[in-house]
Amino acid sequence: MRTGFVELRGSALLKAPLRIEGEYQRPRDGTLVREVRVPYAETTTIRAGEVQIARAGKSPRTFSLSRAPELGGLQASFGALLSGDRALLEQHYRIAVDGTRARWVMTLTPKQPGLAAQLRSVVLRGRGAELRCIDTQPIKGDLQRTLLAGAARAAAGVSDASALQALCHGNGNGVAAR
Amino acid sequence: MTARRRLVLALAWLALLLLAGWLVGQRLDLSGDLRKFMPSAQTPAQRLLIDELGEGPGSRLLLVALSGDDAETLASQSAALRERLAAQSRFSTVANGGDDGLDAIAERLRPYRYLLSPTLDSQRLDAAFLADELAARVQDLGSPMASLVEPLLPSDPTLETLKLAESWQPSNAPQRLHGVWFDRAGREALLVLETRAAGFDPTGQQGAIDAIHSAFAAVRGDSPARLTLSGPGAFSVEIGSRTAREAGWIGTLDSLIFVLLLWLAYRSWKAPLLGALPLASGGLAGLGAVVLGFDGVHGITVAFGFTLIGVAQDYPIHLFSHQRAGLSPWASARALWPTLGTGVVATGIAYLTFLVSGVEGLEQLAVFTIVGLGTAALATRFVLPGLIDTGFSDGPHRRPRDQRPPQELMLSADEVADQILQVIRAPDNTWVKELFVYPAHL
Repeated sequence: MRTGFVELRGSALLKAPLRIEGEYQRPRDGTLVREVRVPYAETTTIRAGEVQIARAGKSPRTFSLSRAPELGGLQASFGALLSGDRALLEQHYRIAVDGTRARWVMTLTPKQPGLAAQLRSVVLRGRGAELRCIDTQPIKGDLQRTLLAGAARAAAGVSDASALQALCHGNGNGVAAR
Repeated sequence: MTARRRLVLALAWLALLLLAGWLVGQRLDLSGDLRKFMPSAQTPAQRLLIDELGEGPGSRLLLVALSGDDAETLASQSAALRERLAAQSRFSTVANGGDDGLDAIAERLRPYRYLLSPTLDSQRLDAAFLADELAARVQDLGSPMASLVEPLLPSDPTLETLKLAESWQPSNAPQRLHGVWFDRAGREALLVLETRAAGFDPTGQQGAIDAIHSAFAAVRGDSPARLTLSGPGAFSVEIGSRTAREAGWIGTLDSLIFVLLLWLAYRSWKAPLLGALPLASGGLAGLGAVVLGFDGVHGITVAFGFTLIGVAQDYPIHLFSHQRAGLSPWASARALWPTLGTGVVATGIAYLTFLVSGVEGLEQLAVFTIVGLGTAALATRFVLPGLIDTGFSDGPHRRPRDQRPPQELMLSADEVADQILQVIRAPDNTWVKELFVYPAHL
């Protein structure tokens, strides 16, 4: 199970948001691999609460998943979403669903105080069975946006923030996708 | 002097003792520092050892275990407990294994990140190295590490702080469940605390332990979780409170028995009062001398010292027992004095050796005992006789045998002692006389 992604990382330390492209993979249950291909190569493996980041020519770095709340949200929701495990999702988040089947929005708000202290919400947007966009809003810092599947494909070559937002929200994707 | 006046004087003496007791109590700085009973340090290494025993991190460490609920609940209690305790100035460290990122590195160490880290020992901080590092940081910002790394970057672009944090990770730390330390079986959440108060500072440790208990009570809610505390501070508080409790009731019981015994033996309610005055004076004088002469009085000095000067209780009893009808108490005291004085001086000489031991606790004990016994003896010799009524006693009360009511089967303590004395003193019991060398005037 794999899907392409385009991610925009904003930071006060960067002149412009960093645009990263790559692929998410789920080689087996409980494991999530995030493979960055552009602009550099990097493989992140999330398994059993640990995050391992491997880069070419460097020894891999490992740290606890609890240190990267936005990723924790992604892992729990991604896995649960893909396997349709609503009970697992509800263990960690309050779930609010809005929209239609063709254009839905699911808002996850963390239940555990530890996660809630770091993460305000995760907003997932999709169309039918396709998860197209994840907006992660940490308590401190900028919104982090990940486009997936069709939206990621549509985002190829697009760098304008408002165009990417439109892709995320499901507007104007027809032009690029087809 | 009338009996009434003597009583007034005795009560005045008692009042004076109470006042002196209050004064000494004001200046009394009771300590539980066992180092006072160790030889004084000679070399720098010994000084370090003695210092560390009381003030070092080892003595200020408190270990906490939470148990009795499921691991997830315990973990959240552990986190909440740490949050509450870390906010208090009593504790310099509160650790539960929780991942608090770089907050775990002491603020005062952070300015020295480049000095502490080995990176620049072998690597020049030149343009090529810095460019390489900055490129890696851009990748970090695009990676899941971003939120971890971002706050560091402005002051630490080569991430020396992280390298330090990694190298300081203990190699055999307790296992982590739900983000906090647990024991091997996963049943107890573990915390380590370091108090600011020294290990042997009973008040400071008591305060810290009370703070832990009240924080836990607030954190626990209605969960069945239990708190277990260990560490030198916890031990000393436990020992202190248990000793105080036991000393309290044993002391009360002792005093009651003492009063009862004197009252029974001399059939006079004045006997317990007069009998207690020299000992109380001796104890207070000894304590006062230690308070004046030393910096803080050790609890052991007080407890053990009072046991040692307990023999002074015999002095007034000797005096009472030498009272005979028509004999002046002053004459009895004079007759008693050579033996009493010799005994006190001999004891004093024995304790003088403590003074040169170089151990402060023993020196305190010596001062306490010598001053205490001396005061009690002098009070018995020069003050007490003035307070005894001439017809006060005819020795321990002796009831003629033929007047004993037949139904009275129980013997009082003094009567038992009396029987023994009569056996020993019986003229035909010469072998007993030879067996017990019994001073004629006692």
